Amino acid sequence: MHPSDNDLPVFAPPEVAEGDRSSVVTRATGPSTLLDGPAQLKHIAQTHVLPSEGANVLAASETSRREIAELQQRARALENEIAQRKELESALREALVREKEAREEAERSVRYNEMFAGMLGHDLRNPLSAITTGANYIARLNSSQKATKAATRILSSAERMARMIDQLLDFTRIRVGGGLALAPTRLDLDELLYKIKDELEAAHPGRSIVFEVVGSALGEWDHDRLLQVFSNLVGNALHHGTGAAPVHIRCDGSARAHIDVSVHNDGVVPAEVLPVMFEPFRGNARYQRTRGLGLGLFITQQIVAAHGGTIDVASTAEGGTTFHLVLPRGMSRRANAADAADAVGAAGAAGGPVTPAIH
Amino acid sequence: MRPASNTIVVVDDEETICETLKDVLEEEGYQVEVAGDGVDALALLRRLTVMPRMVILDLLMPRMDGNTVFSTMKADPTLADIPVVISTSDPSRAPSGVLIMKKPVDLDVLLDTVRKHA
Repeated sequence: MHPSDNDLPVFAPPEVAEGDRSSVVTRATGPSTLLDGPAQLKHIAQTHVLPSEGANVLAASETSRREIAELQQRARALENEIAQRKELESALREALVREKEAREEAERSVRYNEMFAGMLGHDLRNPLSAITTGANYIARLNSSQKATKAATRILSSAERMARMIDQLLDFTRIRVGGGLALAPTRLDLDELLYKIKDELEAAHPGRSIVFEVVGSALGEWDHDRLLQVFSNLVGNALHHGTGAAPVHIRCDGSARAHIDVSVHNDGVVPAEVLPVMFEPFRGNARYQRTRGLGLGLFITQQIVAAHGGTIDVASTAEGGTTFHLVLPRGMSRRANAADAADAVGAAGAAGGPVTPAIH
Repeated sequence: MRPASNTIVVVDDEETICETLKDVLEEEGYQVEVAGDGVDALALLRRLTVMPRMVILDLLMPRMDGNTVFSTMKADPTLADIPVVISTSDPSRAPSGVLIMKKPVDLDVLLDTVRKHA
């Protein structure tokens, strides 16, 4: 046996019956293409090869053994690598399937919840309308003062509930319906803000709102949605202000393409609340007890965004709290609004008087 | 159908709304017929021998919604001329060009609308 035979890979020797050599092909009898292993080569060298050629054949078989061993080693390594990759691929496929299933389940769950809220909103509105109309009727009947007061309280609660349902429906439209649909019309924001000031001052006796407008407040926006935005902001400013100072609304229309509006009060928003002010369902647990769902500012932000605008808030103990909005005037109104703004801008640029109107 | 009577038809699947509007309108001297859904409303309108002065029509109702009632009325020559007021909490669902009374119904607005348009 060759000294390195022990290191050789094991080959099954050809099974050749004694006395039957015809199945073993040798150099003497034919081509070597059927030689399939070192053991076979050794066997051939010992039994068939001529003595003068034996050394060369053995040297060649030694080289072949090494090459075959190397090839087999590589083949085993490749097989191992393939097996590992297959395992990895299989694990990855399983993980992807699990992740897809989990994501679909989460999406289904969110969608069901929001659709439920939407349907609930619609179905709640009808009986609530009946309550409101009934209470309205009782209040009109000129019955006893007590009955009228009770009817007024029912109306007040029903209105609050209606507002919450409206907010839930808006939230559902935003999250499920793909956003709020706007119905933009030509609008003078000056008039809209003045109306809000009037109504909220009437609803909050003893509180005052200072309204200041500079330049043109013309643009193209959704009237009802902006009414919702500014009623919310000014209502909040009255609710959360100390009452010692008036709430300020400032509408600055001196820019050509947009209008800046700020709503300011002397209240302070805690520092930890500021970053989450516009998050949905912010409220009771995280901030303070409110009389709503904590959706007002979220919806306000969405309405402003739907108009292509921005809203932010700043609050300090010294300066109070200011919500600042930037509202583009609207594409189709840009020319007319710009004309009006130009007149104001030109006066301002020339150092001319730009007197704010204070209502 | 004969010319307008003193009748107002209220169509709403919320029974208490129908009843309250009926009470309010009857106090003002109108006769009121009510229907709880679109199918009943069309049957009622076709049964009446005199044309009602107005139909106050809810939108979201079982069996047949208000939009279908409205389009059916407009397509039917015997019903097409009856004034319709849509009573809804979601005006964006109402057909275009129709009078809308937002829910919850303000009774002053209701009476004013009936006086002006019925």
